[in-house]
Amino acid sequence: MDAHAHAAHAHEIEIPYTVHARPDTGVYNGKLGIWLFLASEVMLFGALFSTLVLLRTSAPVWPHGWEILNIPLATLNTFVLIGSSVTVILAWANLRLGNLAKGKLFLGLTLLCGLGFMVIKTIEYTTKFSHHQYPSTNNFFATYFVLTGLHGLHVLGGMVVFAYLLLTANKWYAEKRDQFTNRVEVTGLYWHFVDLVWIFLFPVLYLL
Amino acid sequence: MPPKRQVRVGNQWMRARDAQRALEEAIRVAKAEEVDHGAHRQSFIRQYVFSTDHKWIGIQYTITSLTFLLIGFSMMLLMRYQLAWPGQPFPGWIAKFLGQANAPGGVMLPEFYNQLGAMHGTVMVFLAIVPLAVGAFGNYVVPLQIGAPDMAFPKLNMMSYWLYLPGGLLMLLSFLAPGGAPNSGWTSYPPLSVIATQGQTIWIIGMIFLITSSLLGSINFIVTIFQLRAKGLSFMRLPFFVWAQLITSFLLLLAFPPLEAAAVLQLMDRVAGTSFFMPSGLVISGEKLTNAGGGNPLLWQHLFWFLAHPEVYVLILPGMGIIAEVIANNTRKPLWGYKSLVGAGAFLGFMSFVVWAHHMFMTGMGTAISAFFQTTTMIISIPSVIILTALIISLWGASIRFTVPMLFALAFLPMFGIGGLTGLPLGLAASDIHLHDTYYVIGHFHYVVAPGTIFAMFAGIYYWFPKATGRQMNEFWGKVHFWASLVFINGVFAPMFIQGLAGVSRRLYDGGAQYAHAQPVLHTNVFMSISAFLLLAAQVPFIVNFFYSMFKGRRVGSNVWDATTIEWAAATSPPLGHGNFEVMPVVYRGPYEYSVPGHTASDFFPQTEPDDAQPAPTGGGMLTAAAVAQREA
Amino acid sequence: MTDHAIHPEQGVPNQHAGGAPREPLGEHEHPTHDHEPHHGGHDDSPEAIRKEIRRYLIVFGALAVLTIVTVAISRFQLPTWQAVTLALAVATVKGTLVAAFFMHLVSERKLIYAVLLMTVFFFGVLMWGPWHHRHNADEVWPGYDTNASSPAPHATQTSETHH
Repeated sequence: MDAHAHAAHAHEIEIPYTVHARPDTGVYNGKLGIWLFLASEVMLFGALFSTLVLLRTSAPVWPHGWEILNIPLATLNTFVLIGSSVTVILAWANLRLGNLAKGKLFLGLTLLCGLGFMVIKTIEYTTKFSHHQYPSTNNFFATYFVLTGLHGLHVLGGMVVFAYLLLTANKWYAEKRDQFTNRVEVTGLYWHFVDLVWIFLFPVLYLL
Repeated sequence: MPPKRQVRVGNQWMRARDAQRALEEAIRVAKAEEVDHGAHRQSFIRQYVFSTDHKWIGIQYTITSLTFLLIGFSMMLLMRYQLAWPGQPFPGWIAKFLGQANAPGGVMLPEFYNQLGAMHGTVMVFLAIVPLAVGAFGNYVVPLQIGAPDMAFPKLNMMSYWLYLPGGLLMLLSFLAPGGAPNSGWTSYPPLSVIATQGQTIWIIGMIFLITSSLLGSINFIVTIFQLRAKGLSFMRLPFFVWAQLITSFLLLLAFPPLEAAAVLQLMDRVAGTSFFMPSGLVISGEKLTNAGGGNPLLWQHLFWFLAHPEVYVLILPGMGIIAEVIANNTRKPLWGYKSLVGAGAFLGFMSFVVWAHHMFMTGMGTAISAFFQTTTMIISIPSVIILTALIISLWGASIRFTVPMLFALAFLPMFGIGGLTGLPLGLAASDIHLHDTYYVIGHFHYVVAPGTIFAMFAGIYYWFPKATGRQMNEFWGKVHFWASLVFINGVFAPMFIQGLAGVSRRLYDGGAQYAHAQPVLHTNVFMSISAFLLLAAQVPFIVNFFYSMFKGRRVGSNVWDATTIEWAAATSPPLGHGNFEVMPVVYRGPYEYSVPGHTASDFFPQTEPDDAQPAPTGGGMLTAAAVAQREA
Repeated sequence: MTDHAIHPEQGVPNQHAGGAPREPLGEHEHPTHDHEPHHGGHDDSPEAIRKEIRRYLIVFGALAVLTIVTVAISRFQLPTWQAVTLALAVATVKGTLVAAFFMHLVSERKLIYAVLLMTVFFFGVLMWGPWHHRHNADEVWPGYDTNASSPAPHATQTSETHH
């Protein structure tokens, strides 16, 4: 996801179209890069969903998610994550409006939402472990832990980038405003994708 | 017979060119000094270890992947010794090197043979050929060939290499793990791989490193090719090599993630006791497994081959790209059917995603799904044939320069042809049932990858060596290397078809000695093994030539091959430091304008050279009548 | 042999687009988007951005409502088939909203569409392959693939799903 974070900065040489769009493709490097990365992520989660479908349809018994998993907590987490999607895009919009303070505020809120999501996830996990429900218990729990675990790692990765963006915001915004705004946009695209995966994980694991 | 480059004798042009060369040389020297000064400013580590310059990263990839190629080759030699003379002890120092644990009394243990088999495949595919074809050639050549100052994300590029190297070293370190290296084959089929020794866990972690490295690299290549093309370099003016790299990158981008997912699942099966790939009721060595069960071992095969079939085209496409460059340059005429080549390449890439289950005919998938995958497999042979045909027709009527790269390119054509054609019977379920898991399969894909891809890699090394070093490799020793390699590599792989048709299985520790049906073809084992040892000997001139020429080779000008593409026409040899070009090149025409009628200055017309005596375009943008007449002359 | 003789007809070279002057395709030849030069497809005027913000908030509202809807549906404990269809339908609508507005795919560049279209196709193939294998193989060897000890009771009911 930090294809963008590594877009050529601090280099002796200048890489074209790091900041502004190339006229014939209409995008700047980081944006094409993040979309390609997301394409590969689609295939990664595609393989995992494929696994889930295959295991579930061929299992003689498969528990309903709502029998075992904590729906209220997961619903709350859904709201948290959707909310963070809104805050990150508001951060971007405010940066484009030239309002750094508000932009930073919304970036901070996004980071907090990510943290909240992870805390709730940890509560869920520890409850499961305390009931002696582990990945090895059965294939339901195996897919549950692997899918939500990998998703959680993505949330964590996003949080690291947001923290980095927040810490460097003043310097970057002063020196390379457009590039910083692009970075927030690109990180936002990644973050929305993480949200989108959750939108499918939630019904598939919890509600069916 | 007039001298070949007679067209150049127009004296006025000759003088103009001399002047141009002198100027170019002066710039090069001046720039080299500047770069030297720059070097003092940059620390050694930033310049040579954690470099972000695509050229240096390309060289890092070249050296590393060639080393892994040699390591993978050595593993195969150990196996070939065992296959030719089963149960014979290895000669002294080799036996000592293998140690008592792997080869007590110098005789290789079956367990160790399995480790070598799995590691030979892994090292060759993931650590040698792909990094060489994509990481090395792609990194070094693509930005230069599209007139870009570097890759789009230089730091990401550095990270790709620094994920690849630890991933590779981790793989090799697995030999030291308890129970040795992974031993479930390079395909790591469960349930065997899930219950295998610790080495398999290291394999999975190593794979996650390598996959991440490939993913980052492929994103970088695609963005670079889309975004950083020089002014005027439209897609239909891209050299075929760049097209091949672009298609390859898309394959890596979309096919690798499912294997990454599968690797995570297998890791969970091994470490966390899940049962993604473990069916219920497995009994191992008389004991029932404690896994929850309910998993599906075939799921691994699907996810694995969803990657590994596109991977086959990842192995071959960059090779085809190199061959196209070398052929156009040495036939001194445009490639035949450039558009068909591009179209076929793209179609090949697309189709490679829908043929994977032809590796699984023996799993009892059912007739409908087998029929589907047989059909797609037959369809995918068409673009391969188009590419090969276009390259062969390109030779027609040419006055070929038999340079060393061209020799390898010419050998590639029939070798890849054999590899491809022997694949057809494997793509049809009826014949695959007989041939599956025999030496025929080994022969088939090694013809594609060894005398196919590896010869293309050699062609590329001899071709771009002067670009990277400013010096040329020795022609005579290059030819010795070529002819010896060609003879012995066929000695290694051709008899495999005979063995396979006789029904000899692959992965046999004794080469089939204990099977009655293998007896008539058993003697070929000795022939193949001796050929393999001689093949090793044939690489000695290459290795010596490579390092000797780096420091002592003949100095050559910037465009030693009189080539048209940007890396030769607009960059010095070796190219300037980070940034590549003094002035960003501008492209005026397609990549293979050789022997252009009416262009009398030379028999090649570089992409970056403005047109001859082209009157400034007037209002309507039409060519003048004189220019049209000249072109048609 | 002269160079002319060996030149194949395929490339009477240098002729692109019917003899138009072979100027490099400079940036000036591409339709540039003067009103949106910086962010590849976004109108950067303050009014436009404020309008965008209102739209994001509406989308957030829609997503929140749909989340409640999907949880509510699950309370009815419908038969599997209907439950799956409904849940996936709602998730698809939500996903489309996120992709279309938050990831601004409604107004993205062709290149991005092309990449995603390709990805969606291969994603479909990836979902279809293993699943189809299972159903197809069930017809050959009913219940063969997962539970050797306890064959899946419903295995033969789910028949051919692919045409």
